Amino acid sequence: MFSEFKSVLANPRQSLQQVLNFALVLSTAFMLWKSLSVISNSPSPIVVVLSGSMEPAFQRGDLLFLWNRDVGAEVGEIVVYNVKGKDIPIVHRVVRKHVTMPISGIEASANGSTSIPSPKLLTKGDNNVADDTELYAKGQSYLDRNEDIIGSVRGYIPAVGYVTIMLSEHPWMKTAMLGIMGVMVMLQREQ
Amino acid sequence: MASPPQKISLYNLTDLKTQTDDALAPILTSLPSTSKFTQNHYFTNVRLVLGYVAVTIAGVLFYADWKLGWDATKAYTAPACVAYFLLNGALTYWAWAIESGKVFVGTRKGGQKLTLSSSVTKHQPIYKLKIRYEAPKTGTRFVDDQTIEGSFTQWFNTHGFLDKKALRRWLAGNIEVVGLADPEAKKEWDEEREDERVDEEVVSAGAMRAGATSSTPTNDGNATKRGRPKKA
Repeated sequence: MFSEFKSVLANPRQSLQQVLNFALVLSTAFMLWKSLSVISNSPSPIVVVLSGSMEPAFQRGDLLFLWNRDVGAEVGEIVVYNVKGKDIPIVHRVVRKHVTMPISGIEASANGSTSIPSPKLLTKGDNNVADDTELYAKGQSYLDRNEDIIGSVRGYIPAVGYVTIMLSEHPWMKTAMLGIMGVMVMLQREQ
Repeated sequence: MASPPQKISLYNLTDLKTQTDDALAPILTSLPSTSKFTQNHYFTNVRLVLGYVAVTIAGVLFYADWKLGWDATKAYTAPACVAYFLLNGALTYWAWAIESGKVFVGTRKGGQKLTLSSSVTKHQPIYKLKIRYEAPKTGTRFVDDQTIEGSFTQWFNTHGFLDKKALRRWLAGNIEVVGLADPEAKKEWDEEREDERVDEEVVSAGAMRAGATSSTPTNDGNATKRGRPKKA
């Protein structure tokens, strides 16, 4: 242990380089994720289906790609939303949509353009008996398109997200994986 | 000060190269008398700064995102991503095009500069060293470029340990300025070469004698049999 520490001090640049290699792997992954967020305008552009509530359309473990640059949402569209106070995003289908039509002149802003009000949506899981009113926050009976929706589903890859379900259900796997990754990057050198 | 000797696999070309690369600086910075080189870390420093600035940007964004959430950080995320990937690109370009294998840059009293770049070809145990020696001769600058090659077997022993003295002899014997600065190692290198030359002469003389015997008609059949027993 002591001799290792001594060799770190003897060649600080090489040690800094090895730490940097590890940090670059992590930070590149994070920044790619953030770039995808910026492009899709969604805080979470890729999600994994955690429940079977959308079967047979989506199975547990499917990987979904989201897009959040559309202003509205149509009935029949599959959206992902976050409920206030709950952390887990939910993937369900829009079954009802309400738009408060602007009374002409009142909602028009100073420069003459009318702002489109955010539609109110009701969602339901294809495989669920009832709609999602029960899942929403207390007193909430509709989702707000702009406030609650984090994206609509534009593409998916079946099953590949199952790894993350395994990792979150068995936390020790996460620790082991991170440890192995770290050791590998620290030990091997470029080339 | 120096790290303990490290045993490596002699079949791992990456290990052979990096071990040799790492051993160059200690030799060149500890040459005798006033002719030793002082290592210049400019290229490494630039690489480290580029890398750590990029990592810091990512780290700050990660912390802000964790503490404040997406809505608050949204406006800063795009510029941060652009800056990160620009720095990352610059780092890649620097390491690939500008550094391109430089393993030692050193200057010594008088302003002479020695730059060594190493490379290997996949699956060939040959260490290639590109040497550039620059001296500020009065008025005009003197530049000397040279490329040398050496087999790793010359300075790695059969147990997988680097023989620093052998590497030092190889450097002194092949790089003129190092040889002049390190006459002792140069002398040892020349003596080794002399021994090898004598050995070769003895071997070739022996071969000639063997050739002479086998050409006698009575021995011809036997010699062929002995020479290629498996194929016959």
